[in-house]
Parts: sequence; structure tokens; C-alpha cells
Amino acid sequence: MKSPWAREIGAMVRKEFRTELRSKSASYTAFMLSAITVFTLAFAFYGRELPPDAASGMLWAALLFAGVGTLTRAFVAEEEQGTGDLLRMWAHPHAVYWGKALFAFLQMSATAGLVTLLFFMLAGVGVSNYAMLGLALLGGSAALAGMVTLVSALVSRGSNRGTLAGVVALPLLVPLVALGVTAGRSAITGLAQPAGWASCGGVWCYTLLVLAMAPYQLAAVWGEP
Amino acid sequence: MKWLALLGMSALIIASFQVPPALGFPEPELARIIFFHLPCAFSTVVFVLFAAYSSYRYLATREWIWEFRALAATEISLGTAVATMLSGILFSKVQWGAWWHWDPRQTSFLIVLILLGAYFAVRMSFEEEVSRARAAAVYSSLTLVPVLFLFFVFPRLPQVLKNSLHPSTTVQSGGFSQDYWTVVLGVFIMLLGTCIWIYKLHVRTSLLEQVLKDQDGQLETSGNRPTAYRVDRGVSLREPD
Amino acid sequence: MVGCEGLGKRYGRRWLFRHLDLAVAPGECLVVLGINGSGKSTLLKILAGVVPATEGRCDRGSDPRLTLGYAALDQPVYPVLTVAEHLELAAELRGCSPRVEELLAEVDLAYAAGVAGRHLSTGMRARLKFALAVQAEPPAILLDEPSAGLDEKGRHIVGRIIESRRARTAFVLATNDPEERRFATHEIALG
Repeated sequence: MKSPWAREIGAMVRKEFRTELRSKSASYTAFMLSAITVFTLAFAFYGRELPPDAASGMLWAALLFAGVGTLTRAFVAEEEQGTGDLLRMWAHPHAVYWGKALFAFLQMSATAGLVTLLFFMLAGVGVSNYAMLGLALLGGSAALAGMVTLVSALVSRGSNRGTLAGVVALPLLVPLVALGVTAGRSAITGLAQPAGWASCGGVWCYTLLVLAMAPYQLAAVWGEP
Repeated sequence: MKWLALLGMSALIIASFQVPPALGFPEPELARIIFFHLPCAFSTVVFVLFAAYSSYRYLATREWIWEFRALAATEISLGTAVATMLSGILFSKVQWGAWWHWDPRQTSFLIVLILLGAYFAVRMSFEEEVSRARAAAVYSSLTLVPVLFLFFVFPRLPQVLKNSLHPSTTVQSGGFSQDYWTVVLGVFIMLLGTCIWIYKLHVRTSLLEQVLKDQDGQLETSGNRPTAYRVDRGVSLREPD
Repeated sequence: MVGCEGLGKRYGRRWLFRHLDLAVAPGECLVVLGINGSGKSTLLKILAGVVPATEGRCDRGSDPRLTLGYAALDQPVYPVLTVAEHLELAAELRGCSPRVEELLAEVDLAYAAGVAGRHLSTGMRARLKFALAVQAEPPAILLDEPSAGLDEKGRHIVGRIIESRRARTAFVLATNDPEERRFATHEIALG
């Protein structure tokens, strides 16, 4: 027998998938935004070799902007089309959060894969430690999904939602980016491996912290009357 | 009390020019801006942490007093953070030769300033007061972890510390004399006292505004002019025809 | 039962209503009357839990997802989900039986089970919202201008939904329609 939580979260994830598969415009726009972000950042080094030291910073900047640009739709779209009230009446806020965050994680993982592939192709930089980079990117995707989903709920009922989401999310994600850049730099250059692994661990700690706090914050700002 | 504070501050300002300069700075005399810079930084930390606590209390109790306290504390912390940043920029120019050095402490403090600024962006985006209060409270409590990280962890990371120009070594190796510390702490106490006074005024003002809103149009009458808005709209419970 | 104690709602400095105490028990139907802008819809939204009150508290039962049904004229539906999918989603989230065929038959929407939300007419959307409101057979149902935009058939469906459940359900209706006032056991007027 399915637990109520699994049922509710599963229903949310299925709804998100259905909505995305049928409208497609959001996924396509997300893909284009990610590609344009990578290209624009890589273009900053047009005609020159990108120093391996700088590559990690550029990659995480691309992930950050792609993530914030695409994932804030989670709750903003619900409020824009007026269906937020339906979810408020039907579902527990925690189940809504986990369903949307899980879907956002899948979306962000795909985005991160695409962004990373494109970036290394355009930048022409090699990777020394794939395991470290992979773990950092996976943890980073989860943290981005968790935090941006929450931020999306926070700004969804305000005005200037698109701009406000960036203003709110970007500073909150700075610790993640700082840790991710350090891990990425170590993974690309192969230097300072202990610091790289420590930063990788830091990324996952940040992720766990976000995922532990976010459902309760969401209930306070979005779910409760 | 205010006269006493004024006298105390005057004495500290005089003392700040009298105490022997600290060692270990390229321009020791011009390092006296630390008497202002450090207390502002300490006050920012105090009020940011109190704002996060007040936000948490608002979410837990939904009492408006905690929302007013959070708002007041955040406004004051923004003010002291700006003062810290400006004095730090001046210090950077004088001691290190450039307005901005990407020093880890400078950079992490700038991010804290951005986090504080975003709090007001959140508040301005909500017309409805309950939604505004909740969004602001959630945001403020969300910023606690990044703020703690940026204040206390990031500048002390080994890979970051080695690139820092901030005079932590000067402080830790006893470059500040006892008199220097006395002035720093004295200014901090005075500044904290002033900030607490402003904070209390701010909270009291917010409470009065709340009372005004509760009174609604009743206070807008003057002479025989009607109120702008009706107070309690009549509700009748009657049996159907 | 559904009710409130000391309920008040303010926008800026303007109070829509204040010091409102209500208690509607199963078998009762409270009709909320008032001119446009008097706060009827806002009152129902607060009771439904989708808009926060400025002061006071509401009683919505132990689990509002199952104890409260709400249908409003201006409530959108998911544009890409079909009628049947709306009912399935609501049932999964609420933890009740979807009863898709039964509900669609009651609101006469069986022919539109596979139609997406964006292709529904105003009347069809209204009937879907009634089906969603009664799906869990809640002890309290809030209806905001239920007959607005409906044809004769739609109005008949509204009447049938209310009559078939009124003995065991507390209804709160926000309306200006004289026809809907006939369901009232109590009335209040805002404004």
C-alpha cells in the first residue's frame, strides 16, 4: 500500500511531467536559455584560451543563470495561470514542495548535463577528476532545484516576479557557487584535491540544509492561509 | 540619558585621536577609521542575527510585533552595513592602494549587503500586508545560513585566508593595544546603544501605524466632515423571507 | 461545519469587513449578499483558505482538503490537463476516491472527460469546478456565484447538487442571484 506522502508527491511529479510534455514551450525555452548563457559566457574568451582556473567559475555562473532562469517557473506559472489556489486547497504544502523540487531536480540535472557538455566543448578545457566534478554538479543541481523552487514560491504572489526571483535567489546561492567553484577548479586542474573534496562535501551539506528547511518555509509563505 | 551618551561619544572621539596608533599598518595614523569600521561591522552582525530571530518568531506566532521588530532590525543592519562597507572602502584605498581589492572579507560583506538589500525588494513586491510580512520573514530566516557562512566561515577558510589583506593577523598578534581596544569597544557600546534607541523608536512607530489602521476612518473626521472610509461594515443576520 | 471568529479583512487602510462571527452547520445554507466589491468573494476565499485574513480565525475542520469544497466563478483550471485528469489529480492529492465517471455524470460532463482545460467553455469549467468541490463529499461546501455564466441546464445542475446534499452539508453561497437565495436558511449582507 502506497504511503500518503509517496502518493501525493508522485501525483505532483506526474502533473509536472504532463504539463511540461504537453506545453513543451517551457522545456524548449529552458534549453535555449541554457545554451545562450553558455555561449555568452564562453564568448567572453573569444579568440583566447580559457585558463583552466577560470573555467570552473564560468561553468558555475552558467549553471546559476540557467537554473534561476528556468526553475522559477515552478510556482510563478501556477500563480500566473491562477491554479495556485487549487493546489492550496487540495495538497499539503510539503507534498507540493517535494513534488515540484523533485521535478526541478530532474530538469536541472538535464540542464546541468547540457550546459557542462556545451561549456567544455566551447571552452576546450579538459577535466582531471570526473568523479569530483560529477558529484559537485549533482549536489549543485539538487541545491539549485531545492532553493530556486522555494524562491519561486516566495515571489510567486508578488509583483515583478521574474526580476524579484533573480534578486532573491542569486545572493542566497553564493555559498553554493563558492563551494562549487572550488570543487570544480580542483576537478579541472587536478590540484588541491583535498580542498576540492572538502568543497564537494560542502556542496552536499548546503543541499541537505536547503532541503531540510525549505518545505517548512514554503508552508509558511505559500501554503498556509 | 541622551546628554550622557553625547558626552560619552565626544570623549571617545577625542580618545580615538589620542591613543597611540596600531602597529602593522602601512599608514598607522590613518588606520584610526577602524574605531568606526569595526563597531559598525559588529553592530551589523548583532542586528542581522536579531532580525532573523524576529522573523522566525513572527512565523511561529504570527504576532505583528515580531514583524515590526524584524523590519526595524533589518533597516538598522542595512544602515550599519553600508557604513561598514564605505569605511572599509576608504581603509582599503588608504592602506592597500585601491578602493576594492576583492579581499575575502570585503567580498563576503558585500554579499551580505546584497542579501539585506534583497529583503527590501521582497517587501516592496507585496501590496497585501500579511503576504508581505510572511514573504519577508521567510526570506530573512532563509538568509541566516548564508549570512553565518559569509560572516564566520568563508573568510576563515584556509584557501581564502591566505589571500586576505584584512588585518586579522595584526589583531591576533596583539597589534592593537589595550587602549585601542578600549576605544573600539567603547564606540561599539555607544553605537549599539544608539542603534537600539532608533530600533525602539522604529518599532513604536510601526505599532502606532498599526493602531491607526485598526482605527480606520474614525480618526480622519474633523468637525462634521464624513470619514473617508467606513469602519465596521454592517453585518446583519436575518431569517429569509 | 465551517465558520469564523472575529474575522476581518483589510486592504491598505480600507476594511472590507470586520468582527465577523459565523458558524454554519450541516443542514444550513448561509447566503452572503452584497453589492459588487463588498467582500463576498473575499470572505469565501478566506474561509476556503486561499487568502489570508487580516485578523480572526477560521474553522475549516480537521483536514480542509477533505472537509471543505470550494468553487468560484473566477477560479481557473489547468489549461493542459483534461477534465478527467483534474479529478484524478485532486483525488490523489486529497487521498479520496476519484469517482470520475460518477461525478462527470452528475455534472453532465461525461462527454468532455478528455477535453483539456483551455478548451472548456465557461459553463463547462464551472461544472468541472462543482465536481471538484463535491468529490470528497465534504461536510462544508463554499460556492461563489455558482450560477453565474450558466445556462438553464447548468443552473439546474447547481440546484441538484445543493438539494441532494443539503441535509448533510453546510453550504455557504455568495450570490446576487434571487434564484439562489431560495436555498438560504440564513443570510448575511456585507456592505
